[in-house]
Amino acid sequence: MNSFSQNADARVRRRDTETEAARYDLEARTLSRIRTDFARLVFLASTRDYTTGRYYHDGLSRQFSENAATGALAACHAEVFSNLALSPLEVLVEELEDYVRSTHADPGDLICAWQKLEPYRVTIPLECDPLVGQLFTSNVKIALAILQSRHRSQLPGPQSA
Amino acid sequence: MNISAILLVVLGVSFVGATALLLRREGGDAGEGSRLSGSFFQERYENLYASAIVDRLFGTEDEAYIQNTQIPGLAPLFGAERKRLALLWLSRVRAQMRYLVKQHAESVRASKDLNAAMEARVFLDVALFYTTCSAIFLLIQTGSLNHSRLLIRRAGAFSERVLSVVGA
Repeated sequence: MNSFSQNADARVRRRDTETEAARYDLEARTLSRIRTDFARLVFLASTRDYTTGRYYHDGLSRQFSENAATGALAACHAEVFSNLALSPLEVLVEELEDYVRSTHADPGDLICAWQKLEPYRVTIPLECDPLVGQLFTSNVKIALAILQSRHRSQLPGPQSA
Repeated sequence: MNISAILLVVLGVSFVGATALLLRREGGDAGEGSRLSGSFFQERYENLYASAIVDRLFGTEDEAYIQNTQIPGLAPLFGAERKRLALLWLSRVRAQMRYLVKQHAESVRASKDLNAAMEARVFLDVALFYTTCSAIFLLIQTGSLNHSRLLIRRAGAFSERVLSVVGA
């Protein structure tokens, strides 16, 4: 192996190590404070610039290189998304219900807006398998229908008004 | 026209086809170098048979949950969504096989030696794969997604066998 490839290998190892350190920092300081996977997914997707697909996080970029910060955010995003997309429907419904409750918005309004605008589509990572992406959007659609039904059943009927 | 004449025509067409296929081969100039490396295929080969995806699409857990909710209109919505995704999965695995067969055909044309036994095995595996996919398609159309598990495993095994030859 020549010195050029040795240096390149060392650079790759250093970059990987830095990305891992940035990832650990992100998980320990930020993601662990977010209660549910769905909220983590929304947070991680919100750190992505939708025009370029690149991730930005001021705090992380100050501590680590921009590439390491971007790599850490992308890796965490992919992992959280994969966990949610391939989780049983029941788990996704509970996650979504917790998330709706945590937003303090009117559940009826939020569910209605999500059903019409489908904003959850922007939470799908760029490098995601299209089939897994479709499974996720399909499951969220069904989960919203379940939450809507639960919400309606909790509303007071016309007689109690 | 009697049966013997039909058989003669079929044999004649098969002979002409086989001759044309052999003539299209490049006489082994490119040799083994033209065969794409195994790692290339392993990297491009998506594991659509991974249990996590298959469990979600063809498993019974989510279906049982939907039945338990007893929400009117939810079961048909769930059934339609799962059917759509299952058909998408099926189209992906078929496309993957088409890609493998295309790569294999190109590789065989450029290859010096034609291993007839191996080619026959590939042909049989591909034929069985598509037959299995047709059976899975019928099960999806009839809404029996969870009865497709065994066939999916078989299709996965045929696909893996073709991949092992193509990527060798």
